[in-house]
Amino acid sequence: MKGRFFNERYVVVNLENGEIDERELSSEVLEKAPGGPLLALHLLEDTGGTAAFAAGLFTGTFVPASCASTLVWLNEATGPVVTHLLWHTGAELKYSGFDAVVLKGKSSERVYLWIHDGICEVLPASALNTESVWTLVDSVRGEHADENIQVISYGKEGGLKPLMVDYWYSGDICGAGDMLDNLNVQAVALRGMESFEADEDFFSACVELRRSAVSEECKGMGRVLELSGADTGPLEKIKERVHRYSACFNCPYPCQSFLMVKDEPSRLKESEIDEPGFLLSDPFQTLALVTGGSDVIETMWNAVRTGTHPLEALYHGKELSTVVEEIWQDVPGWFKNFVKKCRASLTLPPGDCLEDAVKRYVFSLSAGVCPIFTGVFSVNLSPVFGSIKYDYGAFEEQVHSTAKVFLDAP
Amino acid sequence: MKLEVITHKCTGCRICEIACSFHRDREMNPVSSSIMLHRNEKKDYFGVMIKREKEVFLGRPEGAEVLLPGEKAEGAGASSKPIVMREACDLCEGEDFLFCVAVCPSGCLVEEGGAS
Repeated sequence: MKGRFFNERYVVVNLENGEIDERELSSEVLEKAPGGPLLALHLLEDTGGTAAFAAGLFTGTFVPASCASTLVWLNEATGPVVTHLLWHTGAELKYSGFDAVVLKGKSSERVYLWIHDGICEVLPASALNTESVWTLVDSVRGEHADENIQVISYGKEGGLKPLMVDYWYSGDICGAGDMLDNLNVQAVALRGMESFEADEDFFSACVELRRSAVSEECKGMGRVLELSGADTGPLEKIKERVHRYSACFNCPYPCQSFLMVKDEPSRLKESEIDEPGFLLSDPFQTLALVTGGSDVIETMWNAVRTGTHPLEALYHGKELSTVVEEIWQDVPGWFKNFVKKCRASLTLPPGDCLEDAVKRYVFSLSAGVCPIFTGVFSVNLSPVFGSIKYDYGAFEEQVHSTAKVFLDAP
Repeated sequence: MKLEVITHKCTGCRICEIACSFHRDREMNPVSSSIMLHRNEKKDYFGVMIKREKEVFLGRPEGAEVLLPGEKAEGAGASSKPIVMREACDLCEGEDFLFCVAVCPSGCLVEEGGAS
């Protein structure tokens, strides 16, 4: 029963010669590496790949917040680096018919990957409008006539190119965009129609978990409201611009807030303005918004369109790590360390709390559940593991040994 | 059982689509549902559509609209087209409860006269 939420198939894309190699994902491999960073790391070792996207065990299922997938890549200087992908990318990856996508080598021309319905294609990016992240997403969706395609990309400007999902920041702090840029991969587009069997026990366990995990008052909460330590003055100004709250795939906690910049936030009818605002989807955006000046909302609107890191857009010309040090005084030290650990260029010696944080992060992503959700609500996933007769303890053990790989990186 | 849609409460999570497919085939499959999310992402404009026996229910944030065969919704984009080819909602015939209501985390989908 272990492989029930997997396609048992992955694809290796050789960017040097454009070769697509679809491979079976055996139950033995899925037992050792059941999703997320575990699976990505295993496949990188197995194939000699540079980077791997992987869905988690429960990604795209009834498990609350099962929106997460993972990108792991090998950085010569720091060892393996892991980042998460939320919104609807995880679900679309899994429903595309592949559990993982491994990238090998470097393309000589600018390309993008179009992964859909059990097919993986490497297509020339010359057909896309790369003027901004937003024009890129529009042109991918236009090219394939589907507004629901999930597009993973990055911007052109700034020293750190954060990963973008559709029009918005992914929350990546590792500069995954730089890595894809170096491989000459402009974007990865995902859409799928696969199906997975489930039974009543699993369905009921998931519904019960959601009911018990999230209280009524949390249902309308957006991330902008949850940031502690922020000055209430600028926070109030941001709250005034909030239009609606949005959730990633199957998430009971809609932590993303859309800020109306060019239209009235109270408007319920469809805006007549093409690009009226932006989604607040990255904690760094919130930090920039509460520390910036009067025109900061406009600056952030421009930054997300171009894919420029929010702090780089606000404090341009200044080293990002310096900015973080200066403005992020109220954030607990262990979290600051965690952030730095996740950045390829900044690593600190791990402490106890850092170890816990990395373990929790790798656990959530391997399960395919949003790490923000599991962190905020201290969610215990063991009942859903039990409902499919999956050994929760064994899963946890595998996660902890894999987390060590990231902690041990130089 | 009757389904009520409180349109502005939708958060766009799409789990209703998967729950509907589970009712039909005991599978999780986004394309076999009678309910679909429609979304204009850049404008933050989204809601649910439901294929019914003789009509399409269009849940807009500002309120609901019912479209009869041949009628076209104002502003409907490409994401709304596939709904007309779906099977009609049977209000979870043969089940004890409405599956989309059971999974909806935002209170957008509720059983009329029942607990949300």
